[in-house]
Amino acid sequence: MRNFAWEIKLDLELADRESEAWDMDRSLGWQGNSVPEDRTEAGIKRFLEDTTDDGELRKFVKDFSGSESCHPPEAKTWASRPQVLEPRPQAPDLYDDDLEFRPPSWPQSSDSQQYFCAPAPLSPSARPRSPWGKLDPYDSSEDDKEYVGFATLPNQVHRKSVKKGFDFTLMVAGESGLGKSTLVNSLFLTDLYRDRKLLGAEERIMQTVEITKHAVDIEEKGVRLRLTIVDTPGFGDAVNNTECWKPVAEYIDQQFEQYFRDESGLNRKNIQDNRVHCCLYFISPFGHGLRPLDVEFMKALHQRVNIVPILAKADTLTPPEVDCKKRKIREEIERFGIKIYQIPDCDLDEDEDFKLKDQALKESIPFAVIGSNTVVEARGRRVRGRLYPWGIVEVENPGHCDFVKLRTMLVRTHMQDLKDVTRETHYENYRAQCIQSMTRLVVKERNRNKLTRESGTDFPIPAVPPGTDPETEKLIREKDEEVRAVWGIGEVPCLVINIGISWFGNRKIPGSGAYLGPG
Amino acid sequence: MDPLRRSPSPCSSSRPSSPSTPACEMFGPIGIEAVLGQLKIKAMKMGFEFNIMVVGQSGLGKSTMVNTLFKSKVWKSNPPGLGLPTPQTLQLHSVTHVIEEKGVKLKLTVTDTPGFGDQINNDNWDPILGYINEQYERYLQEEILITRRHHIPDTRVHCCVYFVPPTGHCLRPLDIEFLQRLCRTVNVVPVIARADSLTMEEREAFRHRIQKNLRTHCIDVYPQKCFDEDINDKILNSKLRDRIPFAVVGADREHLVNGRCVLGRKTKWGIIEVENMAHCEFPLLRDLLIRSHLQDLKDITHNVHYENYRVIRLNESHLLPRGPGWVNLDPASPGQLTSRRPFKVCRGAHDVSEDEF
Repeated sequence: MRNFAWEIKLDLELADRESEAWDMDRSLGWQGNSVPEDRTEAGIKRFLEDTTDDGELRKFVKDFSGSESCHPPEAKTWASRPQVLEPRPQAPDLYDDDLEFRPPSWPQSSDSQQYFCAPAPLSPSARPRSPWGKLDPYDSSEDDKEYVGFATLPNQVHRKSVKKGFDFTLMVAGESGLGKSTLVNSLFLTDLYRDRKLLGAEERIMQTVEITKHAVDIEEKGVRLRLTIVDTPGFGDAVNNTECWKPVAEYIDQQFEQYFRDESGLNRKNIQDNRVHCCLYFISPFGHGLRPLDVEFMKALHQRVNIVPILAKADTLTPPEVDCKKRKIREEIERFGIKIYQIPDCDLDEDEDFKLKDQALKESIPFAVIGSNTVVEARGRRVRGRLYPWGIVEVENPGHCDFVKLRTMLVRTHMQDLKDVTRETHYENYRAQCIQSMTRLVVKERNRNKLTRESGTDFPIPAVPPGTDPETEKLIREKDEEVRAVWGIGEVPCLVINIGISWFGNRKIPGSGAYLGPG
Repeated sequence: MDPLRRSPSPCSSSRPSSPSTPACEMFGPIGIEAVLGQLKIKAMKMGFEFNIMVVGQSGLGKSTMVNTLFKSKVWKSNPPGLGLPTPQTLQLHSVTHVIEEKGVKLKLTVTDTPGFGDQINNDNWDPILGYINEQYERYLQEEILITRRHHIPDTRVHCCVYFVPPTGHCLRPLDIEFLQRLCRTVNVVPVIARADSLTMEEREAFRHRIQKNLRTHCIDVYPQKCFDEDINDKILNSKLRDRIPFAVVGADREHLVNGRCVLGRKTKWGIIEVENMAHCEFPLLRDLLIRSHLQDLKDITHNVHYENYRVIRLNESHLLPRGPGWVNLDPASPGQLTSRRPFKVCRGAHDVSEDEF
């Protein structure tokens, strides 16, 4: 989603676009000519409107509303503080509109514009507002005298994010019939599986695990999200399910490899990020906790992707049963050493309410969810739900299931964190492993041949099995250190990058198997 | 599909939330814009970094300007006549501060270049270009480590403010030569220093002549035309481009004017208010650098200049005559990347990037 339109070369005849320009300014929030009377209040309110009412944001906003009380400037440096301006400006601004960037020699093209005239040197004048006045935390020009102005930085970044949009890749895994597709549709209010044909029993016997991708663009309040859903039909459906997670693991590794390749390449302008950010794993409510297949799958994938376990079809369970199952599953997850996605601890200075919510969220894992694509009438309102003779289950009712919690966590509070953990932990681990394998190879070769630098020959590629046990890792690390010590730190990584570039160019590296197999 | 199911039929692409589109039944927004809030919170926690370099002859008010920009005594500005003697060679002097405002933390690094343009023979700008490239190199080395840090400390120079002395005529050969080289590697914002020695008409004339000079010599200063992403940017940036170079005056003393305290320079014939748009264009410079284009400066440094550098380095290491895969990314010797003639470097970098368009 990183499209830098470097190649757009628009014609610069702006004379006929002047009037558009002023409209554009207003839409950008540049206070063209309106007199901001209640600038203080208006500025804050407008800023608030753009944010959702969220616990975490409340605190953030609190910091900004503090500017209503005129507190002294906070610009602190290691050097001496700036001189505090004691007498605050009393007179209202005579020039309360913006002065445009027009040079005085240009003629005005419409009436609504301001002349940039040079007043007598000693009169006050307003400073040009930043183009993002709407989101500007500085609510009055008086603040200019006090503040440097870089608190607009989060808004500058925000503006770019809105333009770029976000992307998110979600994987759903679990047996057939656990409500995966329904849940995805409910979560993102889409209809991705409209044309899906469910396989009959005979066809399912021959079926293998596939990986399918659906992409959908969602836009809300001007923010775009490119959502990719990776589905795993056929998982766990066969009679013999040995290693049915392999295709899934290989898919994830392939995405990492693709990204590694792109990142090490020469042209990095438009890298597509297809890495899987989160995997929702569906646990059947009919069993007694985790089944062997669940354990094996999660253990195979917990180092590669953020796993969020889901207790599917929770409307078959009563609340005590749900609690009991959740506890059991949590115990088993710990017992088997499965590292699911951990919700980060909230800061110590958050308010109690937030901390309680955070704690409740952590204790709801695995999320007991119900999904529904149908709309029913309940308590006089139209809701998503499932209609039974004995009552109506409402999907978005927090008392009925954890759907709202899951959606909040996935989208509203932890989407960025999921992406960060993928990027910083899982991907980095993969990359480190990849580079180490390549380095190991070269070191082996070098030790074997004892070549000098100049006589570089083409070395054959031994089939190196990827060693992931701790002993081999330790050996690898020691070798790394040795290589670094002998050849200098700058060399090994670059060597590897260069190997990487030429290697990736020449050979097709299979999925998660031997990274260095030929052909 | 279950015929009894009445699935809401969503639009697969953008879904306007106005009530006039009946087909989509929305039950509670998904809440995507909350991701922006998450990003903001993360950014606030991590803080921001900004590295700025000021280049110009001594006495043009560089230190004062930096102090005025950041409203703090980043350096102690040397009053004329006193202070350290001009250095004998071009040096580079960096200072880092962490400043905080409204909860936003900014780690600011200012690099000064005392000695630039003060020598008899001024054709040695390698230290400056070398410093800039060294920061790129540092970032590159961090980026290709096996175990990388989550947040690579960014010491790359995001913006270079070039001070043009207010001769009133046009750009000098030193300015032109240096700007040509500088523009290839870093974002350059030229300013007319000490503009209080020029009247308004002289300023405008000087500005136009400088703009003409820049165009003639293909010096692409920030905001570069080719990086405007959409029409909004284009319009905004065109306005800025008309005013560049800004005529600025720096001051770090305050005076009482009409009952208000203003930063300014007091002379016998009046007080020059630094933040008064009628007097000088300092507010424009400050807005450009800090309030509106700071992130853009960083992005262009990261996505364009740094990438160009990286491509050159990777290509270089490929060309070294060694066996396949056995190449050594030596630290670039000072002459390698800087003493090529400007147009050659430009062509090399632009060729690679143009191939991709």
